[in-house]
Amino acid sequence: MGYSRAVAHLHAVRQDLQPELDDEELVRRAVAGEATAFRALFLRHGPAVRRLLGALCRDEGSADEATQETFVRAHTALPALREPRRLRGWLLGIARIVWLDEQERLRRCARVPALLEAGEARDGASPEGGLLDAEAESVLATALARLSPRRRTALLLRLDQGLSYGEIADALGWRLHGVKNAIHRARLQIRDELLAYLRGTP
Amino acid sequence: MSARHLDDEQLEDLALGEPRPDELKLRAHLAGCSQCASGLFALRGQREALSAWVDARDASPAEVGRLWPRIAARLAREAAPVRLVAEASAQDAPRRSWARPIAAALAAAAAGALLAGALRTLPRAGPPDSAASAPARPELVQAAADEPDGKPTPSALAALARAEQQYRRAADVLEQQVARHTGAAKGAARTSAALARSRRALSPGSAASPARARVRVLEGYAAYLKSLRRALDESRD
Repeated sequence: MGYSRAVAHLHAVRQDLQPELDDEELVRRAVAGEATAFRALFLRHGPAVRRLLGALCRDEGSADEATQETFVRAHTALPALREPRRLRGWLLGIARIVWLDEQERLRRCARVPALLEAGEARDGASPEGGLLDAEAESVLATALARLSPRRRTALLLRLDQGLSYGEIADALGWRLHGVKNAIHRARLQIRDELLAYLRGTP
Repeated sequence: MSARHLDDEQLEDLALGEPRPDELKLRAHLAGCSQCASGLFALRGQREALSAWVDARDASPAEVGRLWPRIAARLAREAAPVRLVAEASAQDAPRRSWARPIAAALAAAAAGALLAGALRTLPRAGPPDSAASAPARPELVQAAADEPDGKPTPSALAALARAEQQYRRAADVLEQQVARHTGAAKGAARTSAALARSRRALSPGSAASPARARVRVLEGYAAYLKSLRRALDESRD
């Protein structure tokens, strides 16, 4: 891409994002029917939603599908959003529900087990994962896969997405104490798995 | 050193680099507490490992942006309440599956109401052309039925019967939607019980019922549909 085209592209992206408008205003406009406002919300929060779903689904195609479904559901529910300033947490909460629905659907179709559980430890090869070597990443992937969906989601929202305990409680519809407990136990469980690996015990 | 160690949330905020009003105080504690300092160190390691693991499964913002056309197409197809795709015409977007029966029910009820209301002054008049788009006004029918001399015509009774039929059909559609969306939701049992009570309160209409009784049935259906729509909205919240 030439320089002038790149600049034009960046300018277009910036316009689409509508950075001068906050979430509350964009939500108000989207609910009022403004065509570009919901798109701006998608461009602004889609990457965070896709990131969470990428970690939960562990499959690119499924994560893309779930991201689409999340925003379709969000669009339907948008008029009922009570606190637009908490949009990000709300969207991540919907993403989790979409993921759980998909898990349920897969369970019903009875073609889940191998995909989700045992294979998890070996699907982690990632040329981009520069911070971890393949073996260590495999251990981490195994440890994450062994977490319950509840603990895994809470841990990802806290340590990866950086949501506060209160935001996670709102997003997931849990009590604050439940959020704290899930994150604490998830961290302990991962630590124990990593320690076992370092000590050479399975 | 103070015996009060940093809790999980404080350590996590520091590891995440989240601003805290008490950050200086926390860092002062960390400087003299090896337990909390090692806890923060371990937490940072966990966080970096987790982020790297998620990074490997993440998509770039540009790739995520490429999902938009498919989302927009689905929204246009499914006709969400907010007008989203500017280029889509108002005619080409299908409505929600339950919107049509409800609209039909309201239109039929409005036609029946206007027809019966017309009994007061024009007993033989048919419904005006605009009747189908007018809001449902069962109270008009009630007023007509209360008139000592206002005997409903067979066509008014037929319109009321049609309205009742349409309401019933709309209720069936909404009940299916509510069952689908609240099946696993918290409070679904409570919602179901409330809806069941509302449904039981509806007395079945019959061809022989007087207009007044039929209007009550329509009012009952209107309230029931409202409950169903509220339940559906809450399930999507």
